[in-house]
Amino acid sequence: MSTDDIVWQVINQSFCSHRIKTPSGQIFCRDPYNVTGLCTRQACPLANSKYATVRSHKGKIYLYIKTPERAHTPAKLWEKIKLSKNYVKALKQIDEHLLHWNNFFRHKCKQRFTKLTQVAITERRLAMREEERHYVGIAPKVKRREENRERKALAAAKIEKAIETELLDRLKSGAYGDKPLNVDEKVWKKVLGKLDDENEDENEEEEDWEEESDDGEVEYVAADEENEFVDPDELEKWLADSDRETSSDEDDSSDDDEDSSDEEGSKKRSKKAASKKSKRPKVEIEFEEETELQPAEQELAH
Amino acid sequence: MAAEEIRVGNKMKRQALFADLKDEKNKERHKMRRTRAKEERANPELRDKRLKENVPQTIESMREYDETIKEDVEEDEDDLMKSFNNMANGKPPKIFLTTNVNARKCAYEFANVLIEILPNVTFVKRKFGYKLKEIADMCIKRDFTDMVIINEDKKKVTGLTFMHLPDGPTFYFKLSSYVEIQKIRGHGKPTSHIPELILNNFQTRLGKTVGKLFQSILPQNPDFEGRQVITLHNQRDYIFFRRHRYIFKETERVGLQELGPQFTLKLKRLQRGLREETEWEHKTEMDKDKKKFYL
Amino acid sequence: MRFLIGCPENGSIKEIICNIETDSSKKDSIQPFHSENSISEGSNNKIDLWYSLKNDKGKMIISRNNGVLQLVNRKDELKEVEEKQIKYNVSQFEMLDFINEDDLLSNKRLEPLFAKSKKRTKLLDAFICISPLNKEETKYLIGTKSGLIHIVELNDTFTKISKTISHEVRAPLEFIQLYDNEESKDGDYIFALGGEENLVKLFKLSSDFQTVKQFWEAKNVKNDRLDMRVPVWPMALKFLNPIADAKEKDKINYQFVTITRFSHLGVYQTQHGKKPLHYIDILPNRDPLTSLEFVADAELITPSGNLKSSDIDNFTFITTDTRKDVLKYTNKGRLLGKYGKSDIVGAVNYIKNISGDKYLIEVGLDRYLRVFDINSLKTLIKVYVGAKAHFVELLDDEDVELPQPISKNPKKRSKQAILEEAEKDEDPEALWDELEKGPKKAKKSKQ
Repeated sequence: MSTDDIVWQVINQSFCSHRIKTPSGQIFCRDPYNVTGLCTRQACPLANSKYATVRSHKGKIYLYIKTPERAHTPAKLWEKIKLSKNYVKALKQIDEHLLHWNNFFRHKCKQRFTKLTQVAITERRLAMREEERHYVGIAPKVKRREENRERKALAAAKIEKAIETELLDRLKSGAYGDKPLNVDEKVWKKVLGKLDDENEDENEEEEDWEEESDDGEVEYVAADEENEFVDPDELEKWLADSDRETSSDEDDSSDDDEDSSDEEGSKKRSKKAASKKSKRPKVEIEFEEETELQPAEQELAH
Repeated sequence: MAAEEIRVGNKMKRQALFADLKDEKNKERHKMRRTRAKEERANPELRDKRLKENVPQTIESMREYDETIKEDVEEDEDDLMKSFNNMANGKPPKIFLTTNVNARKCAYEFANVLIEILPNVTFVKRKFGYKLKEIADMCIKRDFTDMVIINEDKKKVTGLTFMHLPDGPTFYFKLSSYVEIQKIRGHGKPTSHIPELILNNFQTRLGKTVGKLFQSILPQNPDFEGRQVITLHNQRDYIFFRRHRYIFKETERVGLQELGPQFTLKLKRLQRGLREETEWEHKTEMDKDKKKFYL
Repeated sequence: MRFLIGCPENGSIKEIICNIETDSSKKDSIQPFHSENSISEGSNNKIDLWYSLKNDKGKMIISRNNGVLQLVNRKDELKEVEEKQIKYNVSQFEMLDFINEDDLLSNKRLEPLFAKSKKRTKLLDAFICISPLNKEETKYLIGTKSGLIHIVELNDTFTKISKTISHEVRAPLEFIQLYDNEESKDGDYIFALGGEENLVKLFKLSSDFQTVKQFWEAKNVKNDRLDMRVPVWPMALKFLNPIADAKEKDKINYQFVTITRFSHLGVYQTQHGKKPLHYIDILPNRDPLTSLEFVADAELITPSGNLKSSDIDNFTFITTDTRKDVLKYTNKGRLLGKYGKSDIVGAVNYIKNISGDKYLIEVGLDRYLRVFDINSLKTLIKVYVGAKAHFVELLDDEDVELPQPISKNPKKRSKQAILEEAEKDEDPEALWDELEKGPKKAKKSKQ
């Protein structure tokens, strides 16, 4: 026993390669035979010549026992007892083998055995589960490179320009049909005019007089161009309109509903009290319109 | 005096000298450009000539030779091709949309965006415990033609999986630089019209397969009066998704208003069947050569 | 070299003629001379595999995925390309006869199995084996995934094909491997089969083809580390010669090697027992392996790919996975090398070891045909097929004669290829550009 004390003295007061200190002040033990994982006199597998622990080896769980009687043969130091797969039986096995040991080892071995069984169960469950995602590690360097290349590709793409040319191609190749719904009539006529031009160039001189009519079109175009200057505004207006259309539709319908109900109620209300009106603006939003409407209706009613 | 000739010990002085030098150079350049512009305005041929002679060398123009670019896709070759043919017969796509297990809020928000874009789509909240095969089986029984899975990781949408049912193939794209509609300046409101589709720059055999995927999964038969257009522009293997409203202003000018959202896709994996044999996989060593592109 | 490639996407056989050092992905290298689709019947009637007769050159038995077996005659036809001053033989196909019976393939038998299967895509029946049973090549064993085994006969002049009898075994099957290392004494035929959750079994086919009897079945290995059952899914099997001096004479005596979908290499000795001698995990993550080919001298490999050697502790083999790798291993599972290292991008469908330890030909989902030098792992030929390929056969390995004497320097040869190409273009300027090489070449590609 005295050697145990000496060993512990060395470990505790100078150095132990298994010992690690956490910043929070706890001291752990990394010795694989340690039954609790803590660095204490009781749980130190080096400083106890009588020791018991539970370890798993290749998926099987064993009880390891060390006694001072075998201390002189380090190769046979540990007695390795395979524990049953049945949890209850295995606990009984531990009880039997550690019959006259102190409570600490009996208890801690059982605790460790329970934990190892749970780990095995979890491991099995994870192995059963289908991996949904395909995990690939990405180095920061690769990530950065891809980001940079994406940025440069975006700059090189000139997407809006590409879209514009593609759309114009479609327009001119006639992909939108004879009477396209998505083109302003004037623009379309111009496109058609150009198309005609091309056709006529290919055709013969017979249609010379038609070219004159094209001259007329040139004037028309010039007039058109004035309008064209306003176009950006037009676009915005149209965009705003299209937005409003959807929203204003809803507004209209709600207005109509209220109006119709108001028409019935307004007669009563107007006769009853003006004080009510003063309260209403807090609730209703379109109170201005109604105040305008109501005098007219009152007139009608009278 | 050239920049390297400035040899003044005082740093402040040196910097000032250098700034002056730069300013001078800038002025010179601007002047040169102004005169050139003037000349060219008087004589447009000069401009044409200059543009013809001065073709910049871009990575695109120096692209490494790929024999699959010129070749036409042989008919009836692909599973996707077949499905696309089906669609031409009037069978529209029916899409099953879901997320990964335990997805965060952003995945659902992105799902909402996709619902707006994809036609005939059903979103189902992902439940834990179903295997991919079971989900696919269920979808096939209900006549879904495609399955889209949003992949979320660390509160960001990072990937999109497209699976064609029942026989594949499976595409996995990395998704990056997603910009929500609200964050795009001057964005418009999309209308319910079916947009047109522009697929730009899908050139190689693999690129054509990817193009086919988008062609088959995005709505067909556009309503032209909506004047909306969805663009998938491939540049250097990055596929940029944009949605615009357009107006033909003149015969040569088009006005575009962005409707959003924006995101970028990058093909990472193409697998046969429902995630079985790999047909193509992006590896990091493929990035070694800057001029080699796969789409 | 002439290749026949089975393309499932359009149900055709593609013939490609090219020389060694052809690389169609490089513009300045030699390009294939010829590439043509024949007997195309659409993707629904894709070709699973075929067998070319050795006795009557040109005759082929082709199995199609719609359940048709065709007997086809392939004739060589000389073709001259004048502008290149080369001539080579081109195949012309002629249909002689076919069997079209509904029961050759049976998707119905696979339906209940699909529910249990780990595969996500629906199982479709396909032919997995066409093996000649006799030296005259008139009788064949044809197997399907759904566990049907058909015996098919040709007449003496190889013009008619007919089915003799069908047998059923347990499905699903991934392979049927005929044992052809030695002829059995009583005229019976021995073959092995296996598949998903279908352990390797040895069967005996009686000499009159009337009965099929299982006489040996492997046992699964012990549970793994987590005490879980190791899933069974052999993907390919190849026999070795039996042990020369068997200790127990009354026990059957076979040796064979399998690879599984869970990346195991199994080495079996029936004298040793029903469990494998070794069961080695080859790849991490249990990635699937799909094919198995021995590396050995030509005279040591039988027509169906078995090894004529009983030394089970000393062999090398090549296997493929479903991602992109073609790997060479020793019998102990030690990696010797990878073929086409970063070049292959798609899963490899089929590999074949040709003329002993000379060439390895490979086709796969990335639409390329590649030929490797088996020993040096070097890529010799890389040709774009244009479609996913499923099966490949080397018709002859002689290079097409080029007009000028070929110098041994490969650089010069490629230059010559450029010359030819330029001639075809008939653009003198481009030709000069090409000849001057260097920076001007980039310009050319831009045009």
